[in-house]
Amino acid sequence: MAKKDGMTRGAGNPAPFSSPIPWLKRARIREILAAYILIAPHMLALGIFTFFAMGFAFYLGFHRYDLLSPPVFVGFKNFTHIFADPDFHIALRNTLYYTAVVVPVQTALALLYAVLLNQPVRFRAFFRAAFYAPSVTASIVISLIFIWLYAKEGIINYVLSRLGFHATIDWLGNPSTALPAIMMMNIWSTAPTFMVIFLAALQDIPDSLLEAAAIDGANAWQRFFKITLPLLRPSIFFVVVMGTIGCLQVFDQIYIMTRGGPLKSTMTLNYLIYTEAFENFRMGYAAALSLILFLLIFLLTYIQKRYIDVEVQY
Amino acid sequence: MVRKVSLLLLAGLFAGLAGLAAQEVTIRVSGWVSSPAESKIMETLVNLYNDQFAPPGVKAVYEPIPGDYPMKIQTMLAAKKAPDVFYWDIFMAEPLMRKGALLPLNDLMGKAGVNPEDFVDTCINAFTYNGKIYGIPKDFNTLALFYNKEIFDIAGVPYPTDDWTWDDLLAAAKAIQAKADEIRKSVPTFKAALCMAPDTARFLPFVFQNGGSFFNAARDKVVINSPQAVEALEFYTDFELVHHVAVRPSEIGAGWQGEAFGKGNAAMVMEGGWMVSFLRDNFPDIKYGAVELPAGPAGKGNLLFTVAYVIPAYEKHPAEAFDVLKFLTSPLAQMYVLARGFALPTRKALEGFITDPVSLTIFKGAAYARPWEFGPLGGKPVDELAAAMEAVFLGKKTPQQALDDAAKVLNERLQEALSG
Repeated sequence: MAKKDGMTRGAGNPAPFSSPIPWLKRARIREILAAYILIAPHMLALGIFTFFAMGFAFYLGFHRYDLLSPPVFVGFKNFTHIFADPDFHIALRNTLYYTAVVVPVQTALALLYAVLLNQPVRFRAFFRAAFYAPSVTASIVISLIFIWLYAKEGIINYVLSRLGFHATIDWLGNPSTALPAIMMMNIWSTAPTFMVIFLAALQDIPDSLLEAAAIDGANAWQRFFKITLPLLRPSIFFVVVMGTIGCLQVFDQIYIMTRGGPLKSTMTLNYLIYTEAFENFRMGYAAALSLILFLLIFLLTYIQKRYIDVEVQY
Repeated sequence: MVRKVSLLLLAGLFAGLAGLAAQEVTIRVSGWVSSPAESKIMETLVNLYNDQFAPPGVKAVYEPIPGDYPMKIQTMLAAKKAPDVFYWDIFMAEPLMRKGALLPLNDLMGKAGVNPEDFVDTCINAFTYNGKIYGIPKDFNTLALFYNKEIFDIAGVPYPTDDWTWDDLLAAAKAIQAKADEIRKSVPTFKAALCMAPDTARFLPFVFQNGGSFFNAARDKVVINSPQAVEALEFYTDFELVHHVAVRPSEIGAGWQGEAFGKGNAAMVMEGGWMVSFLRDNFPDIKYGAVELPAGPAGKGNLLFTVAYVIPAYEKHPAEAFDVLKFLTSPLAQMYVLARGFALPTRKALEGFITDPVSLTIFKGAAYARPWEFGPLGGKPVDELAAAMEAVFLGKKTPQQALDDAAKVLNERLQEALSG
């Protein structure tokens, strides 16, 4: 990264100072002040809507609060209730199942897209844009479209019946297909976002390395698995971590498409938190659940950091 | 630029002063919107109030709330930003009354000469808690058995009557299903004799008809897994699972039972008075009738749905808000709503004006209906019991298991709610 102008000037100018703080020059103070003013709006919003909200959720996690009467301190009661709550176990299982399927598949698919679109194919710009389109479409819109696609008398069943499978599956109404149906949709719509990251990373790989390997007699597969893939490791780490966090928090598609049903088969942790908070008005319980979700995300990210984010050097 | 700004400021100042001088009180009236017809009715009533009845300085405005209504209202109540007068559904009433979020209306009713005796007892009792009245019901509904006359005619089955029993219902359903091929020749969309959803609001009447109930007498225990209730669930699900004379709306691509009925998918459904305007607007050609729900082994049973106008506890202008509420529940307003065929009046005096045969059937149900409410549990049992029914329909649980599991969860919630 290039050094900023101000930093070089500040360091190289031995002019006598008239600053109230002896070790800071006036220009430097002005610079610092300007920086704080510039970031102030964002910090303010972040402080109120993120850090204060996080702190308040932590506080509520140990209280009983229904919005209408003042919070009552209950200690760890919310947490002991959570572990005995059958809904929590269902939601945890669904969330982990969802994450375990979606993250690997979408990462592999994103990598495949990126490698394909990194080739000098015809209409490459068109394909890149077309593949990326689902990622810039609102998830609500995608969900509504997929409700129609997945309907019992919808297009997917029509195509299947044309192919000779005369199963009229109620994709979103059947407890064994509802969650996989949402998984498929989300893999399709999220993979392109990560494709962009892989594309950028692929272009960062120096051609010299690949050429050298080719001269040494490595074939295309060897070059991909021995050179490209290891060099993509930082991007893979990023994609897996972001994917995991996103999957553990899946909500809007479920809210629109199935509302956690049928038979709680699509009830995820985030959806459970929503129903407890805004349908049953158990704010404290919901806050406690969200703390558990936070711990889960933290733990999984930490594990991934340990095992994927290992520096690769050539 | 500076000039412009100062002019604007000055104008604002004058406007503010003028507002102070006039002391105008704005009363916000809110409700959900079940159809464009409903918002139209509300707009007309609010305009009528402003033109003819509003005391000087009082103005009512109608602010409908689309989307997740109970969530929106409860968060607004918490933020003290709730409307001054708003709809509140019976099954959500006790949690709010218990927490003191609503304004007791007894004194205001006394001062304004509104007599609680004028209203249908079950309706007003549902909004009474510890002797205080928190809401004045605006209208009500019960369930009836709707039947498609064309399908009955083709099948040669006599129309249902008010004195039908469970056995009559099953026998007629079987007779119609036996003629399915014949019916499809003129009603190609026909699927089954009945359309029965895994819906708590359709299942509970069967529990009552079989002598069961949701709570025990002391209302401190959920007894929805009693033998009577289990038997009722078995009877309800057997129409589809054993006799193959019923379908669920989700199976045939219908959003709800009423839609399936309108499309001709089913010959009979159990629905409420909302069917009248729904069918008139969407399926004007259908020929149908409605009779009381069939009686079970323990006699007749039905559910009473009602919505009241309520005022938040912290209301700054209680007298003005109550004046609007009083108008909205007045005989005049209720007659207007009744004339639009929208809902039944809660004022006993208006009974005689109900002429539509379907509305009369719905009205008869109120005599023995139990209110659609779950005390401090609010809406939780609605979802929990629907999930239990779904599990039975999908063959994942027996009726006994499904209701045992639901009762366990609901009793835990009930203990929690009663303890604090």
